[in-house]
Amino acid sequence: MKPYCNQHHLSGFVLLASVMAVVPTASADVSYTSSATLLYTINSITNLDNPNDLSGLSMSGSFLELTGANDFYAATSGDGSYQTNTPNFSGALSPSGTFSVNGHSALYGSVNTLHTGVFSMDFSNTGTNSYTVDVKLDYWLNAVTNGIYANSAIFLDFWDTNNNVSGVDYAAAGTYLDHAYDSQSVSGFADLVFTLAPGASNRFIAKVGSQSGLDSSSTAPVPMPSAFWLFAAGLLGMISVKKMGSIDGRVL
Amino acid sequence: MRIIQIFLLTAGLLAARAALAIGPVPVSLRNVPVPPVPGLLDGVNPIVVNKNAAIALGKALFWDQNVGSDGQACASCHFHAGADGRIKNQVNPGHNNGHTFDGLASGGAGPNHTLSLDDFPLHQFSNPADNTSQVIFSSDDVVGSAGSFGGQYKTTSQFSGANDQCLRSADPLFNVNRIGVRQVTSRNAPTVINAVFNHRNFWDGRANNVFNGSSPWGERDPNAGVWVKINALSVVKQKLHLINSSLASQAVAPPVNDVEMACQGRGWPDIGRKLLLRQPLQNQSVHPQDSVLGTLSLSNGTSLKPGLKTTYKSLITQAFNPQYWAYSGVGPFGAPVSGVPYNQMEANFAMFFGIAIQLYESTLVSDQAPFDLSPIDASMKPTWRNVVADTAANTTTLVASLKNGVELFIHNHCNLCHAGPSLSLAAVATNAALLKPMPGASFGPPDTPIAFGPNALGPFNAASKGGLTQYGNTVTRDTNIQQLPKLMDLGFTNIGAVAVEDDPGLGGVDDFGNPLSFTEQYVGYLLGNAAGIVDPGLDNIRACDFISPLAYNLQINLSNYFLPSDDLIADGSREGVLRNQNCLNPVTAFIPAPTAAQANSAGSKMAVATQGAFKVPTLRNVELTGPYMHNGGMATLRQVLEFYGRHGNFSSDTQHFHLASFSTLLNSEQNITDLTNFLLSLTDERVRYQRAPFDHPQLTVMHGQVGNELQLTAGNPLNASLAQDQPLVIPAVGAGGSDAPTSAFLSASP
Repeated sequence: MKPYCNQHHLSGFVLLASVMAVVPTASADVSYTSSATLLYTINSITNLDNPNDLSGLSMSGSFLELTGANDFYAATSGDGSYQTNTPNFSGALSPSGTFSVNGHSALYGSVNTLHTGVFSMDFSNTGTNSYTVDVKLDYWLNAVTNGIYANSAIFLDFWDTNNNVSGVDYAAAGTYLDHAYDSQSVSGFADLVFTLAPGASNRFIAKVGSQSGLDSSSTAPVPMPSAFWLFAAGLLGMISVKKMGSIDGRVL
Repeated sequence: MRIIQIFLLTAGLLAARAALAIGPVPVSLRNVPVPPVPGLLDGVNPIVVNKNAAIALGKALFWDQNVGSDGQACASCHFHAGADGRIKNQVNPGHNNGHTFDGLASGGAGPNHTLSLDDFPLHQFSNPADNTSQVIFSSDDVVGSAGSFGGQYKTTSQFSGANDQCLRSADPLFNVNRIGVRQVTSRNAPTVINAVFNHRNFWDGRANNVFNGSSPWGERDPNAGVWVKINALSVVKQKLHLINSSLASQAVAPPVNDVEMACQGRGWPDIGRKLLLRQPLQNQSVHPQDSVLGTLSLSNGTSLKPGLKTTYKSLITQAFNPQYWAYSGVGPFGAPVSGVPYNQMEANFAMFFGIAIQLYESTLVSDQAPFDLSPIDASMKPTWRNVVADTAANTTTLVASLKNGVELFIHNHCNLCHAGPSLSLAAVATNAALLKPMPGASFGPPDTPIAFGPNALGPFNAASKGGLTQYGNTVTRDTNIQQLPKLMDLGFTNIGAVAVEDDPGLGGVDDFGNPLSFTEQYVGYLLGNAAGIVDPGLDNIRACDFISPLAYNLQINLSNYFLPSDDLIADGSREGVLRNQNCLNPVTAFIPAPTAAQANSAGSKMAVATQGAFKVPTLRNVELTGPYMHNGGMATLRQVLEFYGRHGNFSSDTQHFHLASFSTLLNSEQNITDLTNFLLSLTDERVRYQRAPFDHPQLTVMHGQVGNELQLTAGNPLNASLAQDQPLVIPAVGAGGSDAPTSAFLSASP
């Protein structure tokens, strides 16, 4: 009889360990962040007709978050949530700022978002002189994911409306089992040199799109922690009852 | 001296005619280039920017069970020497008898039946050597491949969960006592190894040579296309036209087929939605020494772990040009019934999938069989100097047997269909490329390389006997079993394995009602019916390369051929570029004028043989790729040889002449042994032992359902009305392969 009882002890232990193995041992806290930091720097401005005179030339930075159907969506479930941080992107000589998107679920939920922002540097010449403008765009793209499961990607497109320069870049991060944290940072720059004739204008644009998602529910087969403990307590009780029944060889 | 010269000239001509008469000799696959795909990896703006990443992506996708709606990977039907070696729940009821299951010869039948050698062949004669003897058993059932439970697609998960959410229930046909089993395909799964050489794929050729990026149909599909990012603000759907890409065309069909891998209504963007953010092979171990995936494996030492240390999305961004995935917006790509809109990467997932699978399968070339490595003699036949048996005497006996096997293969005209290095006429581009002179280029066994050019497949332009030239005709004219000439697709023949009405094969139509065959389109070309031509190249067929001419520009009296009295025009004159270069017989470089073709459209001169025709399969590794034929109707090589020896099972107007030409000598025990030995020499040991490039991740195939054909265990986690799957785990192997050899179908002796 005794070995029989011991066998039940072992079975119960293995079963409990198995159940515990499929329940997250830590919080299902899952998050993502994607961000783009941009800096426009005026390297030089040359008046081709009248040196040292900048009359009629205007420059300004601006940021616009796009919310049309082609540039934005957001879907959440459970305790999933998201937020954006938009930059105060203004100034004439070196506007800079960071556009970021965060998603989060602490326990049980999902988030899927697309956010799009447009950084612009506008140049116009209402004067009578022509100018050569040398402007540099520096950018830093960053994608971070934390917890199982999350994925975040940030796309950058830059160009000027006079078709002198264009380019793309990309950063992404994703987590999966045994890889609960991921990040990628990408940086680069682009130089735009152009001539602005009297009455002309140009716009140096950087479009940033963040496609991201997370799902904490995929790793949480028992939605509420209390449910797990209730289940485990019941299981322990059953093991105990069965053990008692086996001592005298009867099935209860 | 003059007499000697005449004698030598005559002897030479006779030798040439003799070589021409026997046709192409089988040749080695060593160093044979795979067909080029212009624009894929080359040019200023290639589609694939990192070939190695694309191959890794393709290998992962091929073996990943998450691709299917309910656990089916591409590999589930192609894990056994590139084919399907399962024996349980592999029977489809066939096309006739109201789609009902027949009893098989063993007495068992139907869903969840376990096949045995007693079930084969599916069509049996009292005398296996004589197809006029009494038929003692016949079934139109097909030994296919178990696939999906099917169901109506609802949605899927982005990150985890192997199965899609579908409305599932027991299939009215595939069930035992109303408990559902997995559905079974209506054709046998051919091997993917060396399939890269096929001009078209699938048994009926419906996997188009041109990959359009989104469906199997090439230029036939008016809605096909891929989304191309033009700039930050715009993305447009453009046509894709990748030639020599039938593997990609093939690959995009099963994952959206509700018999093979999917729930009904699942589209390619849905598959992208399911997979892109996941680890490849999320639930399958990957060997750390995997020849392609090893560096991405999470395994180390003997501890095998599932998944790769990346995501599908990451592999795609590494492998493909950003113009196909880097558009950050949504909108034109549509949206699922529930969920956020599709993005560009999801919208183009069919293209990524098809191309990646093609690049992976392009590495699955078995060119190291004993036959490939044997030096060749002056007549380009193997010397078998590389063959060694356990004793010197046995080596001598085996070499003699192999030599006779090659002679039997040639003299019974097996070589006329199983031609070229892949041993199939279906390798149109490859066979043509080898026949085109290219100074300095060679292929074949290292000790005796073969120069590219007209004699690459045999001395004295022997290839032309099989309709093969450097120009790569996809249509030819050859004779049927009654020796009547008919137009037919090169590489597709009706051998009479099943009744024509059981399965039209190449004689079928596509989803748009167009004929699958090129022959039917060529007939349209001859008739001047441009609207009937849906594939490229049909206006460039060379009539003078036909095995049996279409026309003779001679004042002779022949029926079944167009003659000057019919109103002939020079071939190519309609396009302004004559097709009469390098013709063996220039008087055949003529076609009927459209009016002449129209006047004979219902006659023997325009007859076609497409009904019941199927792709000529490669014979490489044939020892391991049973069951055989498109219906899986034969289990052993002996049954196949007996089939040919009796000239097929079913005769019809479209049955090929070659079925009549097999010598009854084929039926002797010694000849069957010798021809079998030759077929066994086509096995690459790397395939047999799953060594690189034929190594692979772990795979769990659904080997029937728990229970038998009379009783099932219900309660599949997918749905209570479905039977539980009976899993069979194929362990992950690294580049070194497995110690256990791959066995023949049903572990049968050849």
